[in-house]
Amino acid sequence: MVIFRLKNLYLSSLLILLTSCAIPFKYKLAEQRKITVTDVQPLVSTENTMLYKTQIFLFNKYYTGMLLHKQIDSTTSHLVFVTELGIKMFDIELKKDSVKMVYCFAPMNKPKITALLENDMGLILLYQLVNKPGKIYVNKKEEKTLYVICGEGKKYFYYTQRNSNKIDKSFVRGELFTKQKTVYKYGSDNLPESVSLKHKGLLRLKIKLNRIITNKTND
Amino acid sequence: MLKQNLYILFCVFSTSLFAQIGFKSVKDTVLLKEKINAISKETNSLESDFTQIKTLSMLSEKITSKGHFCFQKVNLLRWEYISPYTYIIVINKDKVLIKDESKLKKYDMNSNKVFKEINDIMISCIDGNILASNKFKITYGENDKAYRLELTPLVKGMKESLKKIYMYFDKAVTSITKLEMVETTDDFTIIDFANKKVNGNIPAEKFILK
Repeated sequence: MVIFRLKNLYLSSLLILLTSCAIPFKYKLAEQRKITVTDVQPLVSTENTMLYKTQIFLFNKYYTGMLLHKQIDSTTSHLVFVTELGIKMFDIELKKDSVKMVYCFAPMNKPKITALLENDMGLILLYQLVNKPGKIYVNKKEEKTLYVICGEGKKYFYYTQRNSNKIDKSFVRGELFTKQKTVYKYGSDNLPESVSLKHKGLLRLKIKLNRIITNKTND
Repeated sequence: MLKQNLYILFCVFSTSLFAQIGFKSVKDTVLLKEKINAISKETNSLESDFTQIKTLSMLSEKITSKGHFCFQKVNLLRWEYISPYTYIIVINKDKVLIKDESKLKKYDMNSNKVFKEINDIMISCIDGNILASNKFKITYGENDKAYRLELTPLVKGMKESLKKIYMYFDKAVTSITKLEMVETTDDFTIIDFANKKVNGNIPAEKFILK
């Protein structure tokens, strides 16, 4: 009886492992090429400053505040997280192919934390997708696209919304388990209204963003 | 073009010059310290509206928040933001309570060093106890409208994040009117207090969140 149960456990684990790494059967490989900015809807505005109400759960700490995105010039923008009390927690510089922490509040300024934030903010903003070679799968029935990128022992899965080039959700899978999941919801201006990211594993991180619509953030 | 550049240069220098000469050194610092210590002793509660403007210098961007603030001795503090969204943070002794929309979160202050440090600075600035702190070098300035205390952090850990804190008092030294925190990146936050009520009755429920 015990051996039967163990076999069942092994088989179900193997099945979960195989299905979790597989491409959903409704999606068929359409082409294999570099994914460009024209394939997916941009997540940030290059013209207007964007402000998000932000909750960050980092290990066992909880930070809230506002995340601001501003384009500085044609190639550079910044993501700045400021707490409600006005303390700047971090400032990430975004260039075409790089995500770099340029400031981190001293008590948080640890290499593992800054690397984690750089990586996951990059993930939210599709840095692991755009300009990377990947496979494009199409679900003709539901008019959805799936982009799959492989790199550094990980697989990145990006699903679009129905009949749209807006990214609906993304998963990052390691060799065995899903490490990160990101879900996007869009507003009427085609920019994300809310974003939630969950990072599993030893380095636990949850980010929740909700857009603040103001007529003018620059008073 | 040259004229324009010269004009900009003139504006920049005249602004910084004004900032420096706007406040001259206080001659009788002992008297000012006594006044601040007196309000620190006499102030048991403080209630006020506030406008907070965070300036991100490099990005030329400002984030404005508004709300209501309550302080009650000892170590009871409530920041209620009403704009750009509602958010309440209550510090009740060593407990931190946060109400974000309908969600309530409770924390032990000592479990979050970052938060504890920020809170200690805020409370000691408001109740005036910062004068007794050995974490800052303090210089005293005044103009015809206000006194300004310039606090320079001396402690490692704080020096890396904060360059200066400026506390402003009216000439009668009744209570703090403005608080300015300048970060090492030259970003700064200005909190303006308005409609102040000193030693009014603040219901105990204000410092309890359910």
